[in-house]
Amino acid sequence: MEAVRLTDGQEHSKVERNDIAALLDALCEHPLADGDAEPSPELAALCREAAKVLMQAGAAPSDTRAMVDPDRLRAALAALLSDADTEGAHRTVEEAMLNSAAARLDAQSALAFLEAVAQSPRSAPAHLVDQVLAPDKARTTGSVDQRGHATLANVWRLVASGSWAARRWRVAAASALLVIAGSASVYRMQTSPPVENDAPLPAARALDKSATRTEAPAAPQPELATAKACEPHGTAGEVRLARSKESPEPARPASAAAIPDCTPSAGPDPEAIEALGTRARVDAARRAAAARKDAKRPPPSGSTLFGASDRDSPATRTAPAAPAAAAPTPR
Amino acid sequence: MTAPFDPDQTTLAAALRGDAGAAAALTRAAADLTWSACACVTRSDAEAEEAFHEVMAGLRADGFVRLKGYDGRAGVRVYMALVVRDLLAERAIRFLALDATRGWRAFEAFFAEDMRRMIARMLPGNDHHQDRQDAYQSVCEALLQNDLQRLRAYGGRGSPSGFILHVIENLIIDYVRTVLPRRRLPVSIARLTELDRSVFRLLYWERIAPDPAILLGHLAASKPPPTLTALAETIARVRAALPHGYAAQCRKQSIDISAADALMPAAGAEDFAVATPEEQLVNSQAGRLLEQAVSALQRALPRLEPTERLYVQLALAGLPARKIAPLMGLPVASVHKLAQRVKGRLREEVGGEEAVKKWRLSV
Repeated sequence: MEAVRLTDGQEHSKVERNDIAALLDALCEHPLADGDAEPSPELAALCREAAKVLMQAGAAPSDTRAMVDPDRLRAALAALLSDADTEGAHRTVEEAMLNSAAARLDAQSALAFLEAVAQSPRSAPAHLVDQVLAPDKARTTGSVDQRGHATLANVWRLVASGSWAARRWRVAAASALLVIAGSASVYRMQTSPPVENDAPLPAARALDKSATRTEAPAAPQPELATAKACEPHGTAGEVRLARSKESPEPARPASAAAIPDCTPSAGPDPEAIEALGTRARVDAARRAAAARKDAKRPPPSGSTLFGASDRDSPATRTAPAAPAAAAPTPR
Repeated sequence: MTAPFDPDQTTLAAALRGDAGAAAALTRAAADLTWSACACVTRSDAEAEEAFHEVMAGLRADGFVRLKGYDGRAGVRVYMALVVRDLLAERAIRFLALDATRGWRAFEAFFAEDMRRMIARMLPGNDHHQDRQDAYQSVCEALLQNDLQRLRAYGGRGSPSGFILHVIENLIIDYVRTVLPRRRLPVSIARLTELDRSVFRLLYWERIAPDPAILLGHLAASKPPPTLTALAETIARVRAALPHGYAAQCRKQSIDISAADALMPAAGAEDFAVATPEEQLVNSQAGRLLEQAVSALQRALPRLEPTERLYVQLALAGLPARKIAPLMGLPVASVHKLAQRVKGRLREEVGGEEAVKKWRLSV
């Protein structure tokens, strides 16, 4: 077998050289087959080994020499994929892909991603778009803060869910809130009952429901779900929070104008006012008791929110004359 | 590839200036695109919704700061799609750091297609169906090993998704190296037709029962599919050509490719039948040829033009011409011309030495 000298002092036969050329030819032709032809085992091996060798040989210098800025590369790649025939974009992408295997693989992946998205276009659900745009209507800034809070909330949830000590602390805090809520409601029934007269706002109810559903599967946890860890523990805040939990009433800011008992009495007939007040107090006590009874139950599961099972409840004992139908109906 | 969306540069410019109306319009314009992208890389509607909210928040953060790199050359929505892809990749990586289970689900949903595509390029054909599945499994196991050590090695330079894909490609190559060298066809079988070789692989590598009807199911993608009679004849031909004493080779369940990093034999790899002297000669010749071809390519590449070099790199990655064309910003016809040019250059490089000239004269 005739031996000839190539480079690096290696001797190869002409048969081998011919085979090398044939293999490299096959490499050049392979993409033109457009994926229909399965490469020979030899070509597959060449692709695999050469890719690895060239990658390892080129990786170290390229990473330190010419790392293309990702933003610049993205813009150039987008220009290429938009069929924008710009020489600069071509050069940028070419340079990046030649110097970095990661950039080359990323570009291939990006191309496949765009094709997949283009092949299965979908319309975003309107409610999701509205949710995204909702903060714009309320305020024009703060999207970053929101995102940060969301991330922190996620992390916090992860941390909290992994800590039983924290859970115990939260249960204890919830128990304390329940005690405060109970005493506050009794006190309020005796002092400012008209507050209880207001039916809950649907939005507030929905908020409570969602918080209960997502955060607190167990019985004592609905209170935890609404209690904000960062909220100042002022007395007014606690009472307001407790009030919102013991009854379906929304947690609204307590203002003097919202409480009839606090408003100056301007009517000329004190007896009529007294009669009205008495009736209002009775109604309020009845509804508050019914609501408190309801708050002790699991989350409402249907239309029997105040159904026949309420017969033995403290509410019915306190106000036996009040029929179930007299309970406040959700608006 | 034609840009799938119309650009809306005016809206983007206004949104970047802080125009609230333009920001809302741009958000709406991005919504369908983002939703489609999220649906592609999530497993359920609930996950898609969650991803949608996060990606849209990331897109709109700081007054669309992620879109500030847009330089006006591309379609706005093509650029946005690339940004959305980056945000989804970052999200998957962030989840990995926070919650392994959830993070892996997001990670796999995002990178699974890339992994499968790369595996399919290195293990093409019907015969490697099981190998591809094993490769996917092994790569996933290797990524998860040591608390995601490979993924955590990302140093923050360049694209994180590019880094991860690079890691994945190396793992796939390692896996394929552990499998294919041990799967060399016996010389007598290698001389047979493609159908014969496929049947041999199914019978002796995949351990499929020698029933023509069953084999036909595994060869359904062959064009044209063989008849049952032809398959029966093929089985007989393969058996007749089989080297004396050749044993069927068991398939392993999985290969620990993490061991391949340390150049150690893969755990679980089976012992193959001892090659005959003829096979040993062929194997050594093939190994030498491969080594020489790789080194020839290594020598030739620096002397090629950048565009030619890139073509070789993409060809080595197994990309077809229609995929190479958009990445190189060339029409497919130009890719064909480029291929011929590169072929000529490589032939020159291989044959440019004095000894080769002598060889040419001798021929």
